[in-house]
Amino acid sequence: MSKYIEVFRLSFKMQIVWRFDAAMTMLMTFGRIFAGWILWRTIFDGKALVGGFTFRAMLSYYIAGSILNAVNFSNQISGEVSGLIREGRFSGHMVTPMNPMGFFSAMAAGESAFHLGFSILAAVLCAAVFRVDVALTGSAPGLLLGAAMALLGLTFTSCFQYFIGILAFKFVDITFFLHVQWNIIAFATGAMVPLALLPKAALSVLQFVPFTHVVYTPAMLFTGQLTAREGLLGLGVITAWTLAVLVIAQYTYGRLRVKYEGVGI
Amino acid sequence: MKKNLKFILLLIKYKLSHMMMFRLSFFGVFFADGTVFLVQLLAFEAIYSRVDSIGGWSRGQMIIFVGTFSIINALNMLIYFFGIVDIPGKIKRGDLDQYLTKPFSPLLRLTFESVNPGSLPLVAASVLIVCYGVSVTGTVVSVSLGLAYAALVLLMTLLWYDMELILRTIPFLVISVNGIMQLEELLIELNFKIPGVLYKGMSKAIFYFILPYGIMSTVPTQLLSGALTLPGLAQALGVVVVFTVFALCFWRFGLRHYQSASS
Repeated sequence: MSKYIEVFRLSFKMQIVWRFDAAMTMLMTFGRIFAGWILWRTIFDGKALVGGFTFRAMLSYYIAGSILNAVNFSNQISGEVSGLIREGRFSGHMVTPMNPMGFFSAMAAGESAFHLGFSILAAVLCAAVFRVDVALTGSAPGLLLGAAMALLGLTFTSCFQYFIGILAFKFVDITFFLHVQWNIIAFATGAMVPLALLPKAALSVLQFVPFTHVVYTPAMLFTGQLTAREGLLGLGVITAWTLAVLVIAQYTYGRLRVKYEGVGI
Repeated sequence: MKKNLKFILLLIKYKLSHMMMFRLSFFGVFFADGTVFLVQLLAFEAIYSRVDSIGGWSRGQMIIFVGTFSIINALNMLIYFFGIVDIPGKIKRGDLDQYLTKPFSPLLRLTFESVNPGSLPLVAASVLIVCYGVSVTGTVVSVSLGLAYAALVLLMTLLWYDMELILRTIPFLVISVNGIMQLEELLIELNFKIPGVLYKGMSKAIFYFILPYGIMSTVPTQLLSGALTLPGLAQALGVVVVFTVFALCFWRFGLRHYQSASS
């Protein structure tokens, strides 16, 4: 375990070198909230409620969702892993006494931890600029559940993206597939629009899909639009999916690694 | 002119022969960018299931907006994107020497040397999205209106080119340009989610006249749905002319500051 903590620490420290990335994280968070503000300010003009949301609740959702989105660096894992495999440079990770999935997840976690403060700062600045009185839940169980789901969501997406990345052992060039799944996941997590706007039948199916509980459910819990009791099902779903993808990724790595022809072996 | 045309056709021929080696990647752009627009359509569908209009725009107009953005993006990918995207890298590595020493315009070669026919299906799919949007709005599109729309889309593709060229000319003057590229990505993403008609005050001034991403898909959509005024059209044409002239002048200015890294 200490090896992975060390990777996490190193990844966190490395971010200090890439200061411009921190500025970009803030800018991206600002951009997402600004887009939400422009769009929903127009939609709510003369309306008190849209899809069960007030203007304040909608913007609070976007602010919470933007933070969760900004600290999720798991997309980099699939890109990096598939790139290393394609270029024959994955060998280093095969001979290091560390599980590659644990290594890449710890790296992404270090980045997330470093950027969390900056994305919160950008969100607070946005709230001040756009004069949003952010709705935060007063329920401690709701907050705890939201935090637990946010962490599990990051773990799930890291393992899932690692699994997608190692598919390069079999298919070699998966670049366009990576883009396709990133685009679909961006919608499925609720980062683009709250999933509550979808038809009820779709939402009842999405409750059992893990991506729903990466951004949508935690953001709804943080902003008090879901109670802890309503969020419990989501916690169960994301936990089960995280365990499942952990097992699937390990099994797939064990099966596909023998196909690898790399440099330095 | 004839010489340039022959040169462009030769570049396209070479590119096609090269692409035949990587047949599986041919439809990559179609799938990768196609899902972006599909997902955006889904997002607007979700919103329109709760409201009748957004800033006076109906569901049909929003579909035309997404489709138009998709056409402009697909034309960008088809014609020039892969050619000019690496200008900063070529400047940094000194690879631009190979372009400057040839008896052709370096910009012409950079623009057309990497055409990507894999984006053609995306152009077709985007046209279908626009046709669907038109059928939803119930607008009757005459031949002249269709032609005017096509001309405006081409002009907005030129404006997109101007913006890409301007941003990629900056590396002649500064060392690192990563931030500018990321900013471009952010601006495109932002303006793809927000039709220009929703901007007010300062944001309108910025996205209509300084970083004119806000008009690229909005103006052709307004034309097709009968919402474009004459001053609005004149304004958009003026922006295209000013930015095209500026992009070419800025490119020449940048070239004068090029310091080869390889000789």
